[in-house]
Amino acid sequence: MSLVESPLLSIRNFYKKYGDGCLFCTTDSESENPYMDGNRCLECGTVWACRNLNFDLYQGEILGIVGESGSGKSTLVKSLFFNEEPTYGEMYLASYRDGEQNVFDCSHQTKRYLQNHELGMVDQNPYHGLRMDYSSGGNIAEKLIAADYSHVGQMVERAEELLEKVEIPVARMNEPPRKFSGGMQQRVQISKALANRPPLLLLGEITTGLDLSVQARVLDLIRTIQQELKVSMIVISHDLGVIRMLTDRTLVLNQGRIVENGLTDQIMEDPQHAYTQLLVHSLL
Amino acid sequence: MLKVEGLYKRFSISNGKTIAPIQDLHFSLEPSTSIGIAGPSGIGKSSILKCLHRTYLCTQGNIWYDSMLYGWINLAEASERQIIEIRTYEVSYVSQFLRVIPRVSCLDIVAGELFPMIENMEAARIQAKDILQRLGIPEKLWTLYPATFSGGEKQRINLAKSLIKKPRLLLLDEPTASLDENMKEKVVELLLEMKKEGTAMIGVFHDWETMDVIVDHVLDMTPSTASQ
Ligand SMILES: Nc1ncnc2c1ncn2[C@@H]1O[C@H](COP(=O)(O)OP(=O)(O)OP(=O)(O)O)[C@@H](O)[C@H]1O
Ligand SMILES: [Mg+2]
Ligand SMILES: [Zn+2]
Repeated sequence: MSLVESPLLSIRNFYKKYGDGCLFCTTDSESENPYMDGNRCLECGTVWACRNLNFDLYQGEILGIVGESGSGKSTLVKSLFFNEEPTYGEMYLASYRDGEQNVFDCSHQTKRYLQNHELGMVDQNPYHGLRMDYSSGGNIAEKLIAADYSHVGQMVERAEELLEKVEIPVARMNEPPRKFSGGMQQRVQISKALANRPPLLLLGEITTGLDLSVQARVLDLIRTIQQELKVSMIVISHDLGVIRMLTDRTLVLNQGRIVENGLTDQIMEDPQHAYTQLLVHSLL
Repeated sequence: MLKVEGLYKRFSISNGKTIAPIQDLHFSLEPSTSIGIAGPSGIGKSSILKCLHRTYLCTQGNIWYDSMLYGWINLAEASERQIIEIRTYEVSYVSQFLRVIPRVSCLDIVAGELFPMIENMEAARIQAKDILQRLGIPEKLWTLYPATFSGGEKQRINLAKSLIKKPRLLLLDEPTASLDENMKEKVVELLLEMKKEGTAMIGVFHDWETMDVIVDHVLDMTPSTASQ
């Protein structure tokens, strides 16, 4: 282990607005802007969903991002997966040009390439992440083809291996996810996201809407995957319980800003920011 | 191997008030020795351990620790990533409460602690079985989820999770509180053995008896002593 680690992913000065913005809301400062109500500009109605986000993700770690509804979590993961254009900001991936190229500036093709080879994403909603009428194996194959697999036998083998890992009976490989329960759909999504062996996995609110016991199985699966495959992950959740179980470090997002970041147990037991204190206390 | 200098911890509580359980604390600790923290309930004994573990952020002061990974490092200021590495390989905290991911067997929870060091799950399980055995956890419990375990069993799982890593510095928060005499003896024996092998310990012990056998120095937090 080297003493000075370099991050796998770095995000710098990341902003995302929904709306045109105006003179009153486009200059950002840490002090309160009287023309804004939280993340919304009172003059032009633009929502600044993410405001000046800066963070790093390291090899093999699970980073938690916690915040209430509307805090900007989903906007951030979508942007990291290139499904949204950032307004400003930089993203560096160690695996791409030694981490020296801002990948937000790259061509559409390059982003596609990175999406297919370097990233995996599990959406909050399985209906967004899966083709509900394709077979489950077909969903995985789609990702494998995008990642340059071409040999059918190899693809079937890989799909079987993945479904086994997420405990979906291989016999049900030809059934479409539409026929599966919510927990199973999430597990198919996870196996699809893992198909191209990405070094970085982005997990949206994946346990939302699942029963507690199903949730527990999905969480356990994620933990196992992290231990066995040493994938780095970003886990998004409004649920501090989920964050506590899975992560070592956490960022707290409020109205588009990181208000606190630290070791997860420190965030839970000695929160510094008033907003985090509120979150933690409403958990107990 | 550990030097605490001028440590303060203040919490802001509601309506602008603060409480300061730790004020200008100094002490040091060598390998193979141990300190017991004494004092009335609520005085800040656990807070000291949590500051050393960085579960609490220190308000002021230094915690110098001579680590294997980084040499002398101030735990009050080290980066989060450094703290995570140090927690994985060197410093372990045994809390009173077991907090684990549901639906993982007790054996795998303990074995999982070795993951960063041992890639092979089977090899890790062998060591986990050994420590569970030494802590008197009956074999029939090994494959079960600890959620339903008794207080004393959970406490020993917590101990097993820490001890299996053979940490250089062990932070113990009432590690024997819910154990019967027989179990307490097993735990004490194991702790003494580790101490002999070089582990330094700082602990809060709920009974003087255990404190007596394990501890070399007492850090008394009782107000009259602390304020002099
Ligand atoms: N396409 C959009 N157009 C306009 N505003 C949007 C759009 N998407 C998100 N927003 C706004 O941006 C802010 C952040 O939304 P985002 O979906 O990132 O929040 P979130 O933290 O994921 O919330 P949740 O926990 O409810 O999923 C919110 O105020 C939201 O209304
Ligand atoms: Mg969302
Ligand atoms: Zn505006």
